[in-house]
Amino acid sequence: MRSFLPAVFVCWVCAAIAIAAQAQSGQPADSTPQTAAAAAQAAPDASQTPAPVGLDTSRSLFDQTWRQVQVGGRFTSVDGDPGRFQRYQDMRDGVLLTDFRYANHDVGGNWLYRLTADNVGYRDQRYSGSYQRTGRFVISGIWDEIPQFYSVDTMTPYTLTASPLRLDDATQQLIQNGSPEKLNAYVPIAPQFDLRERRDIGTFNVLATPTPQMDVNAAFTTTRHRGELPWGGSFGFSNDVEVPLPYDSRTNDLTVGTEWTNRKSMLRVAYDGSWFNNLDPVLVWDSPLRLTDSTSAPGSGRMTLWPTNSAQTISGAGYTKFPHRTQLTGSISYGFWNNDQPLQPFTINSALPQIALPRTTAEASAHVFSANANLVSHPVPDWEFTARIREYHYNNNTPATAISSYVSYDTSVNTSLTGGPELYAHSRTNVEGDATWTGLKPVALTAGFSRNDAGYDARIFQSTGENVLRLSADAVGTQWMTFHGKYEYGSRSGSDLDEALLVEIGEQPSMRHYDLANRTRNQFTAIVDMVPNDQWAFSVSGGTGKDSYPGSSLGLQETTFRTFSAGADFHLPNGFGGGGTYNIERYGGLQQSRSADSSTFDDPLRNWTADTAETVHYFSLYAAPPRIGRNTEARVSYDFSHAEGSYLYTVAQGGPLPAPSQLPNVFNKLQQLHVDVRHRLSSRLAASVSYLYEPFHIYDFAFDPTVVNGIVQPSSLVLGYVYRPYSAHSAQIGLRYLW
Amino acid sequence: MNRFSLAALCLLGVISARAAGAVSPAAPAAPQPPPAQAAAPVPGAYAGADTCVVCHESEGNSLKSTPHGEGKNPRTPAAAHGCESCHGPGQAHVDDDAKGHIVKFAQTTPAATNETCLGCHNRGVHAGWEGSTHERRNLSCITCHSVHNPTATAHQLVKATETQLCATCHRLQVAKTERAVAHMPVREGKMSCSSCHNPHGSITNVKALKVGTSVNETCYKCHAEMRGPTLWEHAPVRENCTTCHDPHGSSNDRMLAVRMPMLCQRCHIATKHPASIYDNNAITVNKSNRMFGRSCMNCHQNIHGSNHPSGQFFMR
Repeated sequence: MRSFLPAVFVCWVCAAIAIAAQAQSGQPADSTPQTAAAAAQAAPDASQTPAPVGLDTSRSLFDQTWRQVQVGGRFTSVDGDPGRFQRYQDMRDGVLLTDFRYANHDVGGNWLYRLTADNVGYRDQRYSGSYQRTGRFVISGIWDEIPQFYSVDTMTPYTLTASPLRLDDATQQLIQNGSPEKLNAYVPIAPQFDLRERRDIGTFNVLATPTPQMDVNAAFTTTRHRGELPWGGSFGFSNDVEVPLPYDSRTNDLTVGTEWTNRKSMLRVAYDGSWFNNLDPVLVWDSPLRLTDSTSAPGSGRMTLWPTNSAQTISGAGYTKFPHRTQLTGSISYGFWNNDQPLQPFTINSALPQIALPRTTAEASAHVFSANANLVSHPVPDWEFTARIREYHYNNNTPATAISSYVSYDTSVNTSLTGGPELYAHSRTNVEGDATWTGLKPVALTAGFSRNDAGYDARIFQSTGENVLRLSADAVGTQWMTFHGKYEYGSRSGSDLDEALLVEIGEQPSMRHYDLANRTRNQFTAIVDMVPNDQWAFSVSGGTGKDSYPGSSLGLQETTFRTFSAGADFHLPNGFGGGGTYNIERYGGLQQSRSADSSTFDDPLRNWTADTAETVHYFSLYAAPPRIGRNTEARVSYDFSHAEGSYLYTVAQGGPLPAPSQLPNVFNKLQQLHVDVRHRLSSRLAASVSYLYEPFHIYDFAFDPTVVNGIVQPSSLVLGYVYRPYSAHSAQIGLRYLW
Repeated sequence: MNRFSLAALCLLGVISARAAGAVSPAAPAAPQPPPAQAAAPVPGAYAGADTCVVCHESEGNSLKSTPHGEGKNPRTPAAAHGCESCHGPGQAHVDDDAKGHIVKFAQTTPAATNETCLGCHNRGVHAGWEGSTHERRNLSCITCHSVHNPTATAHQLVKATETQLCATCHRLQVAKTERAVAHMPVREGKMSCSSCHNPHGSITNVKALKVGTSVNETCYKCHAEMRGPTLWEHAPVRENCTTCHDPHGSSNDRMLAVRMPMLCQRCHIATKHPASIYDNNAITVNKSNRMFGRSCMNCHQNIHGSNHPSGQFFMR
């Protein structure tokens, strides 16, 4: 692979040189591929001036204008899983008011305001507004609701309220008195519920320009995130309990900053504050196996959820220009992160001895420092040099916490392997430089080198260092072709390995965590765009790469990717436009493990490997035919994606492990057919009909209804959340009013 | 304070001193048109925008409906020399039968094109352009934007949507946002590439991420619940979210780069259950709770960190 990739790269460079020779042969001037394609598309922008475009019958009905609204209805039929179909959308039947756009300004151009509204009254509704005094200030706001619809298949005997989540006491007692198989007793008292969550996001922004050189910005965002999530709450090794976690939080973010700019320099100072407030920070839930606490099992469990926390950051950034197109850019920031939530007792189980808390609150704190400096220079014609250095330090200021014993599953007291939490901290120093030569116009050839050093506290390597070499060729500005190609080679190695850390927690000492482990990386990507004339455009791209982990006897061994994409677009003189794209992606990963107990811990014959692979095909077509008659326009698009994953287990030859029963492949296949037709009824009114057909097929053994076939599984009580296929038809009919 | 921190502060001091001229209380000057030619423009060599639109009427009309045409804004070309703010003094072009002597951006180098645009677009989201990834790859402003003939209503893009534009080169990443099983709400229109990235470059962060100073800080803008810090931390979570998640999309639940339990088994090879082979028998015969549903997270649900004293293995 290593000898192959540079050879491929040399071939691409030769291609680039050929492009350069072609470009220098004196072809007639013409627009760039990008602008040629843009010219072939419909419609200039109309985002600022609310001209009476509704009266302009030459404009396409598919162009967005700033005085429009669509009112109509939507009709949706879903056979199968409506949750997955609507994941981040609300596609219910009903009256639909959407695509509202309105803008107005005074004749002198002194002020302008804009309003938008989409999906009014639905769970995914969105509104925005802005007002500007030209050259003085802009005030804007957005309200956006993002639903997340998990499932309609979910059922639960737990109360759907905020914590504590309760079960029927009589049923708990029944099971406590009998055998765990009586979990089926919960089935009749587990009603169906829709598993959903949502985000409601409000943003308000003010940008003031007191002088042409100065901007003052203030932005506030508030996000309410609530609903139920599928959440694990087990009470033992062989027991699994899944609850509908009630989740309710609010995050407020405030940014205040000022920026001064002149032709040579820019200076920016800013403050960012972020406050996450979990309104349900503790979960208490009943055990389905028993009602009362005992020394071997609790009647309920208690866990902490994401803690309320805050982050305050002050930052400065700027640049200054020097002669020979030289610019020095820098930034520096310092952040303070805190979580000081009360510590919960070690266990809710009243039958177990209570362990004294090390302190009353978490006192978790981190200081984050970051600084960058970037120098770009064009000291002589045809040469550009870039140098960059970046520092990042995550300093863990949480005080050391002595925890020698803890309670596992609220069930039993265990000894901590580490004596308390590890205080993870890390730092990074990245230095890189690039040299670009543009003497072979229009090709730019670049060579670059990076050195990435990282330091760690409480990880198996105390530090890592990586050298990265980059070679790229970019050709833009020819009349008919652009090209980008890049090859990257990286080699990372760790220092001061502490295998004792692995042994301390019972891990194999020859295992290496892949985010730190020695690694060799080879990657190559390239893309070619060809625009032979005003009517056609073609694109081909591809990439291949491999990460290897030498020295990782156990753990991740290698990952690979291969991608290829081809596309074509056309725009004929008669107005007919269309195109298509095909992508194929292949990913692979190989990992090695050892299935052993303490007596066979060192036996390599107990090794096994897992070879994971995924192939994804993606295909899309679109067509924009010319007007049908004078007043009818249509758009059609079709998208197809198919992803299939496989998992191959292999055991050591001659070893004691039985031959694995291989897992079935998983797959998902999604198709989307959109048809949009618009017919102008008058200069201001148009009829709109759109249709969506979306079939989806999926198989995943972890979530298939044949596996999760109900809320009761062996020794487990779950929600019944599954992956199901669907076939959806959705039509919108409406009137578009333009004025 | 280490030596690099001190150097960074000194650097900002230098920049501040050079920028100090921008803070003076002098009356705001009209923006200087960027030099399209080697020589500075000579009064009288400008033809005037009214002359330009005699031949270029459609370009003139398109400019009026964009921010470039806001004459009341002293930062815009319309407030300076109109068309000639960018294309250079045009009298010579008017007088030339061959219609040369004017800047035609379709024919200029990316560096020259960018220098024109950056003459005004030198702040805010554009401040990090010099030395950015796109700049180093020889892209120009007109690779993505069109002043006179944009296709998109927002940001004057050359494609109908931001996603289509980014997919021109970043097909792999855009294709992942379309993954059916697990994806951000990009194809639903609730997010876009620029929700996380600044295509003009980031002064503070890697991968042109526009918020924060690390990959994680970008993620925390929407997922602040993961920020912590917490009492018990999971090291790969603290250092890089992309160790486990594919931020663009995945065929695995929760946008994991690899499904569980295989993902977890890449780093956990202790005795007993972490390193067991969970094969098809674990599904069909034993129906192991380490395979179906949320797999390892059926028990280790606080995998991003726990604030509970008993949370050593993220089960409470």
